[in-house]
Amino acid sequence: MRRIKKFRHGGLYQRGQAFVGGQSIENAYLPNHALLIFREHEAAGEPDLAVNEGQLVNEGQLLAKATRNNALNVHASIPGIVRKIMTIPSPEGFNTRALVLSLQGHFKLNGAISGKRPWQSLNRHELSFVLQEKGVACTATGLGLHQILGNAHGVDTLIINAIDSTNYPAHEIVILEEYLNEVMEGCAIIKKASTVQSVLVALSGSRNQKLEVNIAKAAESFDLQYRIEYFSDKYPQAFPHQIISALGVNKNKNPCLFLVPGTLYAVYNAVSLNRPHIDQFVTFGGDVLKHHQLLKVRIGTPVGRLIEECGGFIHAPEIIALNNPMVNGCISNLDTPVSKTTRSVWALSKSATRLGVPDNCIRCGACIQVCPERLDPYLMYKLLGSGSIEKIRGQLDACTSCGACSYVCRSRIPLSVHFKNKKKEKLKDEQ
Amino acid sequence: MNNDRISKSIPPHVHTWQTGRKSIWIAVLTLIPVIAWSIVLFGLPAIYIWGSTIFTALITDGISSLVMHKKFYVSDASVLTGILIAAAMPATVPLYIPILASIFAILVVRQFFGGVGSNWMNPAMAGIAFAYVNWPQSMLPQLNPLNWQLDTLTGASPMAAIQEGFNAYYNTSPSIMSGLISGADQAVTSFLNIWIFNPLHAKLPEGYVNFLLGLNANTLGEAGLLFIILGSIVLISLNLVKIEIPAALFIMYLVLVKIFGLGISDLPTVDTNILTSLTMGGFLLCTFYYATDPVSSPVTRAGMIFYGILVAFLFYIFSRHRAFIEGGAFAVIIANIFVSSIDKLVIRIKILLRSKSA
Ligand code: SF4
Ligand code: SF4
Repeated sequence: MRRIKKFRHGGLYQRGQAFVGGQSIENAYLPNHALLIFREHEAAGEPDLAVNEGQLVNEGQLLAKATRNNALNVHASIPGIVRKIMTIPSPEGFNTRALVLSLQGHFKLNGAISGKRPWQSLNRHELSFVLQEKGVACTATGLGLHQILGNAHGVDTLIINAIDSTNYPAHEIVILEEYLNEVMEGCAIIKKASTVQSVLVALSGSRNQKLEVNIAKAAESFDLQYRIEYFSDKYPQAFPHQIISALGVNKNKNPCLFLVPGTLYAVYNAVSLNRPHIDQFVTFGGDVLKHHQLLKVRIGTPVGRLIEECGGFIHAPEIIALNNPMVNGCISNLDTPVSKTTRSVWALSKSATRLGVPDNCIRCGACIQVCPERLDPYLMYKLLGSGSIEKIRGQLDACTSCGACSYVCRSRIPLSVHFKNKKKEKLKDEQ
Repeated sequence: MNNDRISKSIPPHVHTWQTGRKSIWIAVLTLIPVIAWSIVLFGLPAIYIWGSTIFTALITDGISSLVMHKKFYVSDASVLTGILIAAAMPATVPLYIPILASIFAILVVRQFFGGVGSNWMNPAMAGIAFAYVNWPQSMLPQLNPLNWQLDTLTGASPMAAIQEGFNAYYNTSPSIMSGLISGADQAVTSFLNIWIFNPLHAKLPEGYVNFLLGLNANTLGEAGLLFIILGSIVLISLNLVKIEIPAALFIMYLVLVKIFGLGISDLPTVDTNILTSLTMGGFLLCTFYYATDPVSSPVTRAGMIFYGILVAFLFYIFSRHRAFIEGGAFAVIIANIFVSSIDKLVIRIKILLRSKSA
């Protein structure tokens, strides 16, 4: 029996509100209108528009070209007419330009695979260029993959992060199982495009013999050196920081590259099939959603439409949270589109969220015991309130904004958000 | 920072079920059987005492917040404060004492220090101490006020020796004491001995059932020892108390008793008897309900353990010298004084260790 690895200090278990998992992936219906946003995260640059309003575009056509740092190419996820260009608020709270496409015309890319690109003959820079051109983003962070590779100096291990550490799972394990060959080919491409020597498949839960056998087969066919490790489901085990800590490696000596299966699938699509990043896997779940489903969705599809496809709500949700409900934002508008970083949508009732009004700290100490970074959220919050942040500068820097402290806070103080905002302010000041 | 944007859009969108308010109400619920049992034992006076402290605490809280913050607000914590104050009262206490103690606790200790969350001293404990300091005579325990004289002293039992110790200390007449080992106790003990302990080659001495059922209780709270034990099991299993404090307190106290004895009897076997020490002087109430008040105890884990040990020491000293029958209240408020220093020290050490390892 292999040892299950876990990070040492703090953390929490969220069992009990389980999500029905393990189903197969289905293709969602194509939307009549797609809303494509230009920026995936707050620090991202804005790409330059390459089309005009009223123009007819093909599926996969370039709509906006990245010329600045941190910007990503945007492609048409459906064929159609550019209806409108506007500015919308993103679920994470920043504003971004966006473009509305109305479905019209023919599908060029759909199904018809025009042969595979022989990527094995491309060198590192050419591969990185393809990834940039196809607008491939890391689905976990929204950063351009070419950028991540460009910054990954001397990494020797690629960690395929398929760990579920919340009861709102990141669904990556299902993608890994269903598209194993594609994902492994994506690994082979990343290996070619970087200094990566070997692959570590990070799984959670009990041992999955069938998957292990399949991984062995796939790894052999792509000539990949690999290793499988099982991790605990203690939150936030899926954070790169905690994986490193659980592995017990020195992150300065052995830098690692963390990618989720969903991203690797996009890499495979871009490089091998010459298909831009216009598909996204999205899990739909939560206690007020009728059917839980994992859908393969065209980017830009309104969330509301997909929720309809899942049978709609049982009753009105208290909140519709995106991705990791511990950290990420929520949507108030069902027209919010699926973006390159949308991985899951959770329709939650009041009994699942247990939201409350923030109260005075009662010094229960729960936040201190749960913090995986051994920080003192209680003290940090207190000193933030009194304005003396000098003493906790180091602690603020070490905080990963995992939200574990806010989760357990007996007074429902959103501690992690305060820390995150303070960090942002600090960054702005320093610039 | 208290005017936090009350918005649903702030992550995390999921939380634990435990909240400060729920902890208070569950603690109150676990004490309700104690209240009920004490009413069974002591009758009307008990009802008056419980009612007066809870009522006074709520009224004081409401009025003082109206005056001080121009807002009528009653904190849930006041209910628990009221209950804890009443739990330390003997059944014969004149009613003005619990009422004044509650006013003192809420008004002086809680409100003047800035309200819930800012008071460095446990208000309930301060109220109890206030009562003991001002009216020591009225707070003297009424050993066996029920006078359930069902039996005469059986000299062989360890409890009998303890009673002699009590007698010597309080100078009470032996005739009142003799009811301590009641018929009920004998019946239950012999039943347990025959069915449970004898097959295990052990023997339960007589007297403990008396303590468990509070048949010779000094205060209202002690009367429900059995229910306090059950209540603490509930609180621990729901993860609502800082478990480090009672654990450290418990172990430290037992170690002290084992080594130095309770000082109430010349019989060494009785003096260092663990069960005896646990059933006496409101120890369990102190351990699980007094010392674990979150606001006035340390936030760090190491601090909690240190605090538990400190309270155990103080409690031991008070109970050994019989300075006050409710040594717990004094132990806790004295330990409260050191809480902020303990926290500062622990956090400083933590920061030092982290900067070293980084
Ligand atoms: S958000 Fe920061 S302070 Fe809070 S538990 Fe996570 S790392 Fe610790
Ligand atoms: S969890 Fe919340 S209430 Fe408890 S000590 Fe931390 S900040 Fe205070």
